[in-house]
Amino acid sequence: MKSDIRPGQITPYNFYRDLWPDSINPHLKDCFYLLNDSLHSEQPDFISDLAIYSPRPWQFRPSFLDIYVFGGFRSRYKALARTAEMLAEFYLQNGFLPLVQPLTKKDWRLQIGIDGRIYRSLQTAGILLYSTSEWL
Amino acid sequence: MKLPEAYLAVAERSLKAAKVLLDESIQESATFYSYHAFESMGGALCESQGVRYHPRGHPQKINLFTTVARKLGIGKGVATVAIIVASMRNGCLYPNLSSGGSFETPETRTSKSAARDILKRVKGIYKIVKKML
Repeated sequence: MKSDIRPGQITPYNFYRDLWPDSINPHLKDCFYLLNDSLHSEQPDFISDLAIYSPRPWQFRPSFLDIYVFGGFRSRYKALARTAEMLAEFYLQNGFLPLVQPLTKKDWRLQIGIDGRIYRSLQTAGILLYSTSEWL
Repeated sequence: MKLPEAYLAVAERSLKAAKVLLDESIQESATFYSYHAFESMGGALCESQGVRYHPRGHPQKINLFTTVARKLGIGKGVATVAIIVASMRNGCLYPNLSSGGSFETPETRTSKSAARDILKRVKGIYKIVKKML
């Protein structure tokens, strides 16, 4: 069913499958490896998937990154605050601002249903960086 | 008034505005003013360190604030609040997509408790920045 689509099924790039944009900046790739490591060490119980998108091509170093957090949480704000605490060190080390958008299951179903902006961004150039279901 | 003090004054008034708006249950605008207060504190801290803050885009200003805060040993707290307020900013200003192809206004997406928590966090950073000037 379309409503069951997980972020990793639509992102063209995927950490677990070693699928990266051809021209990705090597420094960015290193940052993402470290971030994945850190997320797996923390194993945040409120996150099922985390995907990233940059409006700039991946070969450039961005000033900010869109970070979409998926999970079974009900409060978007609590999910944002907890994610911010987890990402603070990543931000300090790398210098690009994570703009975090927690998506509830309902938000995600809505995005899929109407091919919303987030859905299209992830489908175009999104990278699945963390998932509890992609231990491939 | 020197530029760092002027930025701090803007931050202080923005915090007051945020409090008034929160008391009036205009939580989305309260959150936006918390953001503005935070960004202005960045101006105060950066300019006090001889780092030019303006003109730059919003993310660039926040990045600069975080970089300077890190050098001064307050990076972690500033970075955490930076991620929160910057992530909330646009959602406090513009309509968001809702179900059935309709749109929701920012006040339905920003809760009062979230706005209160953000204001508290930003005030905490304000106190630290003020002491450092």
